[in-house]
Amino acid sequence: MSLFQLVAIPLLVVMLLVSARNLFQRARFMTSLAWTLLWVAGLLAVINPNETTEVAKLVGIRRGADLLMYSSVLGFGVGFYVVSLRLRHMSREITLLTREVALLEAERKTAESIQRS
Amino acid sequence: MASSVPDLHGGIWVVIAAYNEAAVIADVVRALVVGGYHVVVVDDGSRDDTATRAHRAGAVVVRHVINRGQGAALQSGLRYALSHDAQIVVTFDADGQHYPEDVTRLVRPILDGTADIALGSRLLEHSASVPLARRILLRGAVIFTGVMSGARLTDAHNGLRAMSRRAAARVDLQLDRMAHASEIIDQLVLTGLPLIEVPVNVRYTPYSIEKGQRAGNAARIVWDYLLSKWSR
Repeated sequence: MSLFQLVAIPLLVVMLLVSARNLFQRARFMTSLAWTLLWVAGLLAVINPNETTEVAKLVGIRRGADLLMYSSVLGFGVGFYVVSLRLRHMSREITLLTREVALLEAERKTAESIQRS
Repeated sequence: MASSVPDLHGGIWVVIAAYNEAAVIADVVRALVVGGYHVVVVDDGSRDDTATRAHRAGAVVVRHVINRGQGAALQSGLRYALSHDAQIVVTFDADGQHYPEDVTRLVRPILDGTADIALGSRLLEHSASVPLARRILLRGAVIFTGVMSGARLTDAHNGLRAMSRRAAARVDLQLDRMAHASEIIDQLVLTGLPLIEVPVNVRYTPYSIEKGQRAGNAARIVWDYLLSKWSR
């Protein structure tokens, strides 16, 4: 077993266990299934790197290492997009929350000053 | 000034979005209050005493606890004004670049029913007072806004605008930062309500230039705006 496998396999197993555990929560089933499959694929690729070449050939790529490279670039791209959308959404929600607080506070102060006068 | 529109003054609200404008906000507010307008200052999370000074000068202050950008602040101000029976809502810049007298000119076509939306324009006339570099930038903004919204305007990014209640009620700014200037035009044009441009003066003081948009920000604004169009 190579040094890389020695490091990667335990790491992947831990990730796999964490996401597999979430499979039992119905609300998160689909996402945890996706993650679980990803970790399983990662484990297989690390344990038997030559097999990745077979998979690569199926989709028209010559080497397994290239397949991993392309798919990780693709994965990061999609991931970045999803995260930035989520950030924008969150920023929007913060604005709405800030607005509600500001308007409530303004009304409270107005009511207070009317009471005082 | 104020005497020409006395009857509706109870219903005219001026919305000012302010971020760290303590140096000038009191003068701006006072001039408008003297003119007889209701003034709501949205303090957009300023770290100076913008809120206190605006309040002392006679404005209602709506305070964003954290800075959310001018678009977000204007939307908060619109909400406040509409919930206080505003019949006409005017947006006005905090940095003192607009003349309070111009509010009267902007409001008049709405009062007499010729328009629901009146946009202040720096370029309709008086353009001598606008520095050349600024004029070029503004031209670019006009063309961009024209292409995106189909509105033929002479000045797309003037902070001085007046809207009837029904026009203001249909504005819902989603772009928190500066791209709202294009967004508000889009939304106002979409209402299909009659829109006119009114020539207004602008004072370019060292202070307002310092606080205003730099040319470099234009790219950011265009980006924000296009992103919102694509990912809608």
